[in-house]
Amino acid sequence: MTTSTPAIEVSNLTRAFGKVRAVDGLSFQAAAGEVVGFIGANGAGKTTTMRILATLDSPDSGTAKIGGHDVADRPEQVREILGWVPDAFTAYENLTVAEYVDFFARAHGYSGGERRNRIEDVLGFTGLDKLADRLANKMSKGQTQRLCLCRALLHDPQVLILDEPAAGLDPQARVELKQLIRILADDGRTLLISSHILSELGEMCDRLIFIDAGKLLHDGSAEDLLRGAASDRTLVDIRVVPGSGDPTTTLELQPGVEIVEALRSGTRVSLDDDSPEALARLLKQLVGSGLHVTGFHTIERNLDETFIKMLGKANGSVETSPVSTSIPPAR
Amino acid sequence: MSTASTPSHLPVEMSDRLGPMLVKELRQGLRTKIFLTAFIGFQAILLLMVVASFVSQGGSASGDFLNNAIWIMLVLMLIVVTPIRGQMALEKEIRSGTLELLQITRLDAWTIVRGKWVALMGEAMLYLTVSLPYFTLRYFLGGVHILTDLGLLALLALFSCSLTAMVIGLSGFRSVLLRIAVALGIATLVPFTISFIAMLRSPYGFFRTLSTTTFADWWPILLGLVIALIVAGWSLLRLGARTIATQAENHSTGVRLLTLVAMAAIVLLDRFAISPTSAFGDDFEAIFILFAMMIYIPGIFSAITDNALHSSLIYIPFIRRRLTPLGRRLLYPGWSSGIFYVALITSMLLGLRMFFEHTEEGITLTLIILNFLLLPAAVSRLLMSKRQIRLLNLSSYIITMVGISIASIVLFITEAALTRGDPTLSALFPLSALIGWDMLDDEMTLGLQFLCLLVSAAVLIPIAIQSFLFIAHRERAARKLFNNEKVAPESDPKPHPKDTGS
Repeated sequence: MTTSTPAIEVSNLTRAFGKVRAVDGLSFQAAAGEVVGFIGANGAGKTTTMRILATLDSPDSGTAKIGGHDVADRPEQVREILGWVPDAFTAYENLTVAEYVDFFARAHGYSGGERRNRIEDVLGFTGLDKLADRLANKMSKGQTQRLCLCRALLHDPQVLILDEPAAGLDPQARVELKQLIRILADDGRTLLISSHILSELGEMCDRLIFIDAGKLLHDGSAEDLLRGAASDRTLVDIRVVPGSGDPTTTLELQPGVEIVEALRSGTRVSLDDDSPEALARLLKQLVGSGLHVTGFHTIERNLDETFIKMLGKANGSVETSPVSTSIPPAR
Repeated sequence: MSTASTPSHLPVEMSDRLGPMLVKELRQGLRTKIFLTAFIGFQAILLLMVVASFVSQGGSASGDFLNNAIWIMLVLMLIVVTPIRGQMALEKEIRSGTLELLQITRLDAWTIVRGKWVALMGEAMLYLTVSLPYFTLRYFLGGVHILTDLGLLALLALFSCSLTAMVIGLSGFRSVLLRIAVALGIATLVPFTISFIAMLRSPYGFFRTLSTTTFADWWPILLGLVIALIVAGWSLLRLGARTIATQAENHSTGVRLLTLVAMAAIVLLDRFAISPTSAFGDDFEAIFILFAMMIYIPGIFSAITDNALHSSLIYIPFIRRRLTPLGRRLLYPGWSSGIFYVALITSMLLGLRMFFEHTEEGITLTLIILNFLLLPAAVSRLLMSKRQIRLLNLSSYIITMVGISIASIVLFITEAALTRGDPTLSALFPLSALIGWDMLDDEMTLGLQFLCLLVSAAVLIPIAIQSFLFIAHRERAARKLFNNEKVAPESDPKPHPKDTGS
């Protein structure tokens, strides 16, 4: 793989299951050493795309390349440079961690002392060396996930595809996984990671790719995405002393203000202007109308909200309404 | 990547000469409760039998008692326990998702399946080995024919090898019906095997005649049996590999070639190796039909149910070897070439039978078996939607086969009852023709079976041609890949440590 060759290159990829198009003309690239987050709702086509990249499925049309090798035409070359961590992982029964890793080391062609060194390396890297004698199928979810990563790293792959690696992990295991991913990225490996925990992906990844119904929605950094969302409209939470008045009437009269949600002691509004002057003007109006304002702060959009908003736009609907915080009174 | 500072507890070293799959399966298999229970139970029962034979009787009678006990226990271990252990071998890998992790290593489907089979054979050999002291003990009680027992042990081991291969091969199919059929088949084999062994060990049995002149009558049967067991086991094991293989693997061509060669060998043995003065007369004919079917049925089943499409990669070896278009059409993997292959091998078989002036019954029987396999293929193709037409649907094939079989039985019973034991329409369908063999008119059965074959062919051949045209597209892609390889062979981007010899 030369430096100019993209580590992952997907072009017009299509894969249908019956009448359902799981992947629909998807195109994106990942450069060598890049960490890319792959985001989409359930059934968006993430796993199908990743399985095609891992040579486990074939596209109906389009191409997918890993290190310049077409996954359909050169699967063996692709497998030599690719590590795959599936979303669901089951370890074999009656095998210890060391025996499990030993089996996959043999399956990747390692022999003799080299195999032993390699096993020690990856067990040490993933922190499983102390658990080497434990039965592989009797470990915690976090340890099992580390074992899966350990297996994927055995043949020293330059590209790693991780499908929902953090799913079901406790906070500590998640932090450990994040650290491992960071080390692998610093080591110059390309990682394509799908996850539902978008805030974590934002921290880990150089770039985020959003897909829906098998199509690309967004391809860029987390900062770009948030900036784009922020420049659209700003959310402000306004809280008043209960009984000092209803802010809704005042707010409705302000230009560029749209009420989004009624809070217990205030309101969440959306502004088309996020300049300090506009915010100061709004606050002045509220105080001037006799309301006892106790809280006035802007809300930063997070990746989850941005993702939901993006899905809403892609599906042709307006921004998804937040869930109501109050239960309607009984009639 | 950082190197571990503390040495880990690496597993007990097993030779690199053993395949990865074998090492893994042995490590796992020898720890399973089923194996441990069976192994200890086997020893305990044999020990109990030894004690019982010495306490209750004495002399040659106790020797016979012990002998029977050892053989029955060995049959149970090798013909029941070992194959049954392989019944979930592939399905377990598929269901748990571990198969995908294997597919992205250097292991191909055949290595995976073979490793599982060899590991189970290793367990079977353990049963055989631990029974040797009891055989030795039995020897000292007298009345033992060593050559007979050794020959029988070898035959039993071969039978176990073949049966286990068949069961592992079929373990990739997630059909409950198939599982039940396999279990019932194994259960049926036990009394058959025990009586077979008893027959061979009798004073007039096969192994006791090795040094006599009648050996000339026996050896073709022995050779035919060995060929049939090996080919049937190997073909079904390959079928198992095919069920878990990626689209870039070819597990069909080898089966087709081997079936062709083995069928030829069986026909030659049948024709030229049997002494015309043999005391067994027509029995040889029936035995050789059975051997031929043991080879023919897995071969044909494999060809008819092959995947419709494969990756372009698997066509490259055919292009490299410069096979003629006809050769390619017959040996390409895929069910469309499978249909032509079935036509060829069956024509050869029927042609040879006619050439050697055999009876009509033999030809009718061959047609019935062929129709039994082809008719469900034709019906299931007709039932498929146009979109599915190029795709394999093995489940629908098996379901259709079961449906036609049930319908045939119902038809025969109804017709026999209505016509008071003089059915005619039953001769059209394979299974009812077989059941009503004695009641049906021979010529009519032959004619209607030919008609059935023609109908199946009329359905299958046009679809096979259509499928071929589709394959031609893949063939072109393969040719392009092959030419690219010739111009600029792509090097591995990161040579594997094993390849560099480091």
